[in-house]
Amino acid sequence: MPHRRSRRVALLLTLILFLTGCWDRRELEERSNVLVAGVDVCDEGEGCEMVVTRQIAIPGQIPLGGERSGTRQADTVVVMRTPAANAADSLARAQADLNWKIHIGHNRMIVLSEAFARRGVAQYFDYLRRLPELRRLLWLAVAEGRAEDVLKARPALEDVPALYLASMLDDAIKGGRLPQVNVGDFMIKTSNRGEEAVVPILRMAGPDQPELAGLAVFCGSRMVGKLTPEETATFQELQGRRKGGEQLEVTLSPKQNATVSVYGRGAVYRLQWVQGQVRVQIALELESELIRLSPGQTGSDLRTLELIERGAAKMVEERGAALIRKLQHEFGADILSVGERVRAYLPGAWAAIPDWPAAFAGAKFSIDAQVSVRRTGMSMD
Amino acid sequence: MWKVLKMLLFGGAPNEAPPRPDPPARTRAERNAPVPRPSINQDGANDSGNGSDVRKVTPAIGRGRQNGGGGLSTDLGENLEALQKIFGNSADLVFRTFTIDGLNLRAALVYLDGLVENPGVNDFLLRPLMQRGNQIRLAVEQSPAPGYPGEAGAARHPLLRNLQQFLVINTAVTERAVFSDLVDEIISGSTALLIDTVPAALSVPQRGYEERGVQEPPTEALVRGPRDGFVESVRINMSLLRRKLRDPSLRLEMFRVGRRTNTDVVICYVEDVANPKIVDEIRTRIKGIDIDGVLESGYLEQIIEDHHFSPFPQIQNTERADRAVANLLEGRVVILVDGTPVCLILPSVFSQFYQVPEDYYERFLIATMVRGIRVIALFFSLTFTSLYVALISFHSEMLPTKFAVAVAGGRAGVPFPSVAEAFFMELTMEILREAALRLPKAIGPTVSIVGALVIGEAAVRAGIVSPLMVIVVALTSIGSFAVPSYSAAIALRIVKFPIILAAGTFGIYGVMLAVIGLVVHLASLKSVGIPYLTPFAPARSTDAKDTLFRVPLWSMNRRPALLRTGDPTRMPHTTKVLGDENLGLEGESGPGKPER
Amino acid sequence: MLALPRLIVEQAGTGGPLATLLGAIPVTLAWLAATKLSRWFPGRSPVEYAPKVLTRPVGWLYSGALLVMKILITALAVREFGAVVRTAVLPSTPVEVTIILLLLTTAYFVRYDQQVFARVFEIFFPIMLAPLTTICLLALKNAHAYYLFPLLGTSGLGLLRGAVLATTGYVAYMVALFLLPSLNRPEKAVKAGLVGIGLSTFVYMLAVSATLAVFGLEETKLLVWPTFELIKNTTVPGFILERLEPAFLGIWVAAVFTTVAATYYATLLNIAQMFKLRDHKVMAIPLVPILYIIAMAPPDVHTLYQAGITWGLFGVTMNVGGPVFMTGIARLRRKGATRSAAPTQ
Repeated sequence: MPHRRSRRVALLLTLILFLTGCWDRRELEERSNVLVAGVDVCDEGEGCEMVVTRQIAIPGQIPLGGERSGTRQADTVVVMRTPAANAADSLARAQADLNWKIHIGHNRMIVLSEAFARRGVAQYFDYLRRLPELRRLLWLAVAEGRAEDVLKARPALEDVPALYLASMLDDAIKGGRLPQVNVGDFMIKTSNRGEEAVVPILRMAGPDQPELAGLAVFCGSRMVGKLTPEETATFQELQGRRKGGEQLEVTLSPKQNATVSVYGRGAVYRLQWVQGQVRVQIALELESELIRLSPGQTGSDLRTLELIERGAAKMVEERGAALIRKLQHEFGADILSVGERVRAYLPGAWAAIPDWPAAFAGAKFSIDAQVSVRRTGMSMD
Repeated sequence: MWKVLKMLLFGGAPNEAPPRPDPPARTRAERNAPVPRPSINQDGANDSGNGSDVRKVTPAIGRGRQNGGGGLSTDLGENLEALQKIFGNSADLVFRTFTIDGLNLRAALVYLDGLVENPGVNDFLLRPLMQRGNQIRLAVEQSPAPGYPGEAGAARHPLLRNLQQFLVINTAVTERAVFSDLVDEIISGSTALLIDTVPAALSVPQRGYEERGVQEPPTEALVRGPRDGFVESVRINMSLLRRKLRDPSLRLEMFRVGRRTNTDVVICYVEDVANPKIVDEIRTRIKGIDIDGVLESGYLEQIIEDHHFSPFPQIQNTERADRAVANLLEGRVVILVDGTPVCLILPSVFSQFYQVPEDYYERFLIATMVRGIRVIALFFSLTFTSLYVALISFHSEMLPTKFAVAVAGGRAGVPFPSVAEAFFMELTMEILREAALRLPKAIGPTVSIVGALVIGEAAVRAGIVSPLMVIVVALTSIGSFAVPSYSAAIALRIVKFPIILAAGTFGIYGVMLAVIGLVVHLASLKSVGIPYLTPFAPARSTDAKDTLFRVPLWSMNRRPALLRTGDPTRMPHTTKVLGDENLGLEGESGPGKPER
Repeated sequence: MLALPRLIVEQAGTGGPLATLLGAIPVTLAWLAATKLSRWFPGRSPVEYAPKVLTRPVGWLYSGALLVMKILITALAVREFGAVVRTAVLPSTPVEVTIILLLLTTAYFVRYDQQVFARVFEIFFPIMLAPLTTICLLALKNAHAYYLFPLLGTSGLGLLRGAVLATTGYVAYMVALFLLPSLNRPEKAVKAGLVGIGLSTFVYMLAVSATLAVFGLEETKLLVWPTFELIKNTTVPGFILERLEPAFLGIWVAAVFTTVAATYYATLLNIAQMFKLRDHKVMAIPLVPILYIIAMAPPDVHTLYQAGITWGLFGVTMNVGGPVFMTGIARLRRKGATRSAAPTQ
């Protein structure tokens, strides 16, 4: 029957194709898995624009099931340093030094040095964007100092340094101490015209001890400044994301103060366009828990609580205003995504604004915080 | 008057076949029912009414006689000689000649030793004929009683008729006048009574042969459920069906298949439930079989199935009687084959291959969960290895980092690519499985367990396979054992290999294409007109009640629509029995408080 | 479908989701017209009744145009898929191989008859729908509401252009036209079709909205395959499997397969009816090389999408304009319904 025969022909052709070879088959052990990459500025002569350091996993040195057979940690990864003219060039050169093909599918993090960030990362990210293998979930960080120092760290708590870094960031984000910034987020915020990006900063507290140290503020694809950890907390509060329980010292009267732990519950931005100026009202809602009360006060006294609440709210407002002023005048960077909101909700205004950073600098902000003390801990007093 | 008739008949030429009655109507399946005749002289006349199921078999079936087409002669000696020649002096052919008391006629019993029950023959056949002379004389003087319409096997010859009426004590006695018919009867275990001067013989079934007892089939054991499985005798099997399905509309139609084996094949269905088109189609297929011998139901399965080239079975088989009956109730057709305890159930669809009767005996939550496990096992056994190969060889970024690096370490010492490893291990598992079937029961389990462990361990040590591969392959194989239907499990195991190959060449893309091809193939299969992938494909919500999960028994009100049954309602309304909860039995012990 | 969000958003800005919705309107109209036509000519497919309505030569031209359009759609879909696979999952495998494999599998499939077709589609339908919806919903974790506003976009013209582009995404739906003659219960056709269109609209809108909400306007314009990037951005809580792209791609294969098979099948039917062939299977294999050649024609992704848009628009005219136009003409010329010849099928 003609049907059957043609069907068999089709099947045969398919089968033949399967035998012609597997182009992409590359076994797990036939790859060099890069776990963390770091980019530094290069000062080693002509034609050298960047130094890319890569932490590559050594197969088999990381035991499954956690037995410790005496392998020293230093042996779980190898750090390779490649000076090159650009990102693609560095990949090629690194490949020349390795036996297996480099595979960045398991790359967990990219660390940029501050110097490199301040110079501008546009070209590097253009390269990244075109890479199909890129995980957009890569964590991004800026290193105070050189990136390769971060990569050379061998924290004692974890076999794989990359995982240590990644879980550190992960945990901070879950706890609300840092905003989520992965490569994807960075790219999004950089492309959108109404907002700017921030990136967590890593500092080396010791040769093997990286720690989080605030946020780096970008304007476009160039770093323009830093935020301290306290300012980071304020930033988080302004976004309504604060879950971490930052502690505020509230002064009630000259001898009496209280410490409350503050949790953000939401931020509402109200925008207005008045006579060519953007006016933003930020309404913050926060919960807090009383941690310490100086003697002589009663925690269950409503008036005391009210004082505490108002004190805390005032502190939040002040710090928020300070941060915004810093952003407007020192950095000129809108990391609060106000511009995007303007674009979304006031399209007429957005069309009339030629340059958002300038409009941002001239915008008027007012913050209204509401703090409520929800818990007083285990003591009723 | 009687003597005149006798002389007329006896005076007839030898070898002249007296006018034959209609072939005897079939009685319901009794143990000693007469066997059906392929009628030489007549073609398909219809049966008589009242539910007797006479079916004319075309001459294609059961015509194993090369000789013996002629009728019996009036001379006993000639008849015996002819029989002797037909059977070729067989060692187990017994002739027992005697004289009929009171008539002084020579007669002979012919039977195959080993097939008949001797005491019965003695008591019910020989004794009356040899000892009850007076009765015989009286009987012979009577006019032969007229037959009733639909009466089974009324003898035509007056002497035989009277003997049948008064003397031969047996439930089913028929007359045969043609050698081929008589030989058929003898071969089936009947005793033939030949009388001198009578050109016909009585066939008296008095069978007794060795049979296996009814026990639980070893390959389909359940934790909970009846333990009666089919045996090799089709009559016992029919009785098992009868005992579970006591509905007169259960039809059992018998055919003879196989030129030399003349195997009894019975088609069973419930008349007002099964779709007549399906039954007709099956009947036509069975009738159309022309084969040398049928030893097992598998022979039939292979000839009548719809798609011979598909690895997937379109006909279910089982040894369990309860499973057969459950399927009958849903409107399916069961085919019993003499000589094998395995019966066929058709039409069959894919969803049946992971269902067991126990699903219905247990409560629905449990049944659903257990069935879910089985379905997962089914998918596992098909795709797990290939997915593993695809992940390791092509898409290692899908694995968590720590895990990936660790596995890479495990694989670093292995020289072969994952595909080769997978093939090797799977092949080994198949060989082990096949070998384990043939091992004696005593050593079997030990050797297979130890063998698998040792081989696995040794292979890992030698660096031929990585430890993870061993685990994956073991899981896959175990998964395939969880599939209740043996034929389907094998099909899955076979199909697994091309998918592994696809995974090894194109990664997950290959796996998907292979799976798509598989689904397309499955979708194109039909089992006696029913699409194979019902109820997934022509999706019917009523049928969905019983596929991946099982809803409570009391809400399965309708039969599966896929079979287009005649009587779609199982139960007219939900019959969950809500008892009275308050019997006043709670509280402290002591005399219960009176009901208020 | 993978690239559609970008194409639409490029034109309509944040009005993308709305444009997608609007794009469904012409298709709905076309569907209503088509079902009406098929009721007037029971048992006949568009190829068969077009000559009657539009006079033979014009009708023939129409069928021919339909045919060409279907071949193009099939080839382009296959090519797009090959490009995605090549770029994202199997970089070293030659695109040719990927495409040929898909074509052959589809060719194997279309040789069966409509029943098998329906069954396979029934099975794959939930398999495709569930993951797509789940992924879009999971991705919303990273979404910002203000990326979706202003809802109407910034320019009405852009919105309309986006809507037209959206319609090209629905065009493959008109394959269903060819199934109309063989329906068991034609009176349900209208409702069934509307349900289908509704579902497609929902899924498309979900995809466009999700991409917009997560990436924002500018970034979406920069991504070649925004929906795919959405996957890359999504994490399954618990990190059992980290990068989901290959898994998604597996499902995507099924989706593309069904699309290609449907259009391929419709093409075969078209040919069979135009040239009065015995059945549709004959041309299945010979079409493979033709499709392959057309599929390989665009040298790169950008040309591919240009071609896609152009031919898509052409397809929109034919498939949307066609039935509506023909309904009008048929009514004018009083063809069909009770006065037409009795169906011969």
